[in-house]
Amino acid sequence: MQEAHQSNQAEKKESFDKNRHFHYSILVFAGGIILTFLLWDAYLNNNSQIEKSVASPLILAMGSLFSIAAGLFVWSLESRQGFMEREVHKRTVELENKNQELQEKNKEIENFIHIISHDLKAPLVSIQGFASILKNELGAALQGANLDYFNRIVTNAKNMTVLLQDLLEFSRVGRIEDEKEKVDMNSLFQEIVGELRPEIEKKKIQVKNAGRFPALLGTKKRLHQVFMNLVGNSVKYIGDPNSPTITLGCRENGSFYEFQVRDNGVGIPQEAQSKVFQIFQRFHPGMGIEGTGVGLSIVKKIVETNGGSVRFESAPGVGTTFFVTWPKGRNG
Amino acid sequence: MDKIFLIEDNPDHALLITKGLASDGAEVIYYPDGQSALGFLEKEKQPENLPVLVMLDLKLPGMDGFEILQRIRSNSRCKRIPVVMLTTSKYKQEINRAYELGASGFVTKSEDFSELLGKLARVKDYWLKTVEKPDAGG
Repeated sequence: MQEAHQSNQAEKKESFDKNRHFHYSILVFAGGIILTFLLWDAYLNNNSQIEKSVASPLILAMGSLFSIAAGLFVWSLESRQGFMEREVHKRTVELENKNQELQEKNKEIENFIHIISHDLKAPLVSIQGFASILKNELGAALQGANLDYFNRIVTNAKNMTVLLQDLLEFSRVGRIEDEKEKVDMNSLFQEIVGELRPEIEKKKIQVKNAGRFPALLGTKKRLHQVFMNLVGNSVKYIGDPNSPTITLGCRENGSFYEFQVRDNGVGIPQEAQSKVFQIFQRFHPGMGIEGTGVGLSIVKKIVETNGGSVRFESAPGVGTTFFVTWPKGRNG
Repeated sequence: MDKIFLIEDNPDHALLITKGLASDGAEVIYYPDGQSALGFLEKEKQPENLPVLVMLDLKLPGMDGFEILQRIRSNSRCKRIPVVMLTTSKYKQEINRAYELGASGFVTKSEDFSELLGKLARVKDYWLKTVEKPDAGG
């Protein structure tokens, strides 16, 4: 009953909105006519008979013409405004539909990645399984060039396994998530640096913390992935500067925290900078560093899924700084 | 000799998994789909002919692992047989659903073959040693 009443009200409002230009112009016209009559009446009461006979029809005619012109002016204004509003509404609906279409397409692609990653994993289990049996069976008979060919098969199968795992992880971000919680970034960075410690020490890198870090609202797994990728990349691509340094920092920026991971490493080549967050992009093939080129795409996806953003500044031979913004959340 | 049923549609995986399960005391019987395995499990009247362990692939064409598991658990003759699920993924929702339906365990098919062999050996040893063998009252 109440719904029927509400829908009736809505229909009435819509009908009024549609004919608004008509209603408003009639109002203006009627107002003009009333004003003319009032003026005319005042004029009749205050002037001589001759003046009245000449001027009063003129007042009436002018007043009526003015009212019609004002009515028509309002009509055209309102019609134009109504047209514009309808256009804006139409475009908004079109945009919303396109947006929804895009989101559905994205979901489809992610599901597709998820499915093919699983399907491609099955033959890899077989390849590596039989390779392992073959190696055990052949033992010392597998040697020289044959051993080299065999090892290349195994290495490629392993690389593909890592690639698929990364691809699967990429498809999981935003789709399969744990409950958000407060994650202490001081201990998270400590953990990450601890995990990278062997390489940090080998390359004699100095890791500096520029102050304390806040707690973030998110999942520990995803925040770990974001900063492990960024700090890990800094370690991987530190190159050979005079005093290799990675600086971790954070500052407040309105309703966001902005984290910085700065290094004085090899930097990102200028021509590659527009592709940094694209999946499967690698920029230093000559350095012999392992990787699939999925890491930074995962970083971007995690950060954006959580309402933040990621960008970088880099100069070859000088270093790279990644900036990650993350919403402060309700408890700031 | 203890029987282990392996329900797996991928013949390569079946061969690899059989290598990890077969031993002097255990015979692996391979079924490429759920229908043929259930055809035996649901009709067999002699409890001693029933397997002591079922290794069941989660993704099978036609009747999938969940459905087969459900059928095994709802049949009075074979509902007590441990069923260990085989999967290529560690998809939490799938794992939870299988446990809810009565799965006894999970083995992820690792690409690292020695790791897979180790997992299969542990699972087999555990269930063959600790689980009550089917008897006339089973």
